[in-house]
Amino acid sequence: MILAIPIGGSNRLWDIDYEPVTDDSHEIQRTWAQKRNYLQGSASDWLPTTEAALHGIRNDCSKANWDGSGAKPISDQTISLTATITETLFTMLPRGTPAPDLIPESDGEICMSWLVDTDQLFALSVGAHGNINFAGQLGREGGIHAWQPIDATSRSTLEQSLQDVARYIGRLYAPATGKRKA
Amino acid sequence: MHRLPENVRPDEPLSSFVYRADDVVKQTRTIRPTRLMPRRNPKTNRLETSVCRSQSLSEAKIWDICTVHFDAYAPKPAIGRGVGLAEAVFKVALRCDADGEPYPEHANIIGWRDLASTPDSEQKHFWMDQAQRMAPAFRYLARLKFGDVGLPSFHLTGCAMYTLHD
Repeated sequence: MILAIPIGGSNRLWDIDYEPVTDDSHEIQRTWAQKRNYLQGSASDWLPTTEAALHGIRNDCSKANWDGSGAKPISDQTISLTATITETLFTMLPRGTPAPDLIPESDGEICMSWLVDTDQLFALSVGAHGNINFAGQLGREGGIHAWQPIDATSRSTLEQSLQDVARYIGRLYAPATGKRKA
Repeated sequence: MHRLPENVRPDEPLSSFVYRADDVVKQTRTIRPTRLMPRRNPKTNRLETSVCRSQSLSEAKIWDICTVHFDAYAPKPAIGRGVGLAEAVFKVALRCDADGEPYPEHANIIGWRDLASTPDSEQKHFWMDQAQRMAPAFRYLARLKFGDVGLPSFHLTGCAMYTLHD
C-alpha cells in the first residue's frame, strides 16, 4: 500500500500566522520569536556573533581614515542603530537564518550581509542619517535594490520599517530553513 | 618596460587590494561587494573605485605596487587581492578611467549613478547593486608569503594555487 503524506505547508505550532495588534501583543510576539530562535540552534548564535563584530568595528573604525584611504569614522550612533536593527531582525526572520556578516564601509556606514551564493545574497547598509539602503540578488528572481527611511523610535515602528527587508532575507533561506533535523 | 593600452580593454585583469579578512567571502573565494563600492574623490567629488591594471605584471611587481601605494597607508599590509576582468565592470554599465595616477597601472572604476540633487543616502543602493553584480567576477588571491618566489602573474580569474588566509 502506498500512502501519500503531505510534508509541506505550515502546520507547526510556531508557524501560525499571527499578527499582533497592540503593544503588548507585539511584546509577546517578540518574546515568542526570541525563545523560538533560541531553541532552534543557529539563530541563537546571532547576538554573540554580531556583538563581537560590532565591538571590533568600534575598535578599528571609529577614527577618521581608519582604512588609510580616507574612510569616514563609524560613529557610536551607527553602531548602536546597527545593533538595534540586528536585534529586531533576529526576532522577525525565520528560525535558522544565519547571523549577518557585519562589514565596515568607507562612508562611515555598516553593511549587514547575508550570502548564500554569488547570485543569492542580500545586503543592508546602515548609517546615522535615518535611511537604509539595501540590495540583493535573489537567484532566478533577479535583483532588487532600494532605499527607505527607518523609524527606530520604538521596536514596533522599526519592525514596520524592516518588513520588506525581512521578507527579502527570508527568501534567501526559505527552502532550507523550513525543514527540521531528522 | 611594457606599455599599457590607453583604454582599459574588457579582457584586462583588474586588481583590488584587500587588507581586512572580512572583505573576503570564504565560501565563494571572491571579494566582498563592499570592496568595490565607490568613494568620493576628495578633489573632484567624483565617485570612483580604485583598481590596479594587473595585466603583464609579475606577482612581485604587483605586490611592489601594493607595498608602496596601499600598504604604506593602510593599517595593515594587504593579505591578498581580488582580481577580475574589466568586462565585469562594463557589464554593469560602469567604465574605467585609466588615469595612471599615482602609478602608471592605476585606474578608477567610474560612471556610478550620481545625481547632484539626491543625497548619497538615497542613491547608495544603485552602487550596492552594481557592486554585488561585479564582485563574483573578482576571485580572491592570497598574497604570496615570504619565501614564495618565482610564480608568474595569473591574468585570468580562477587560479586555484592560492589559499585563503585564516
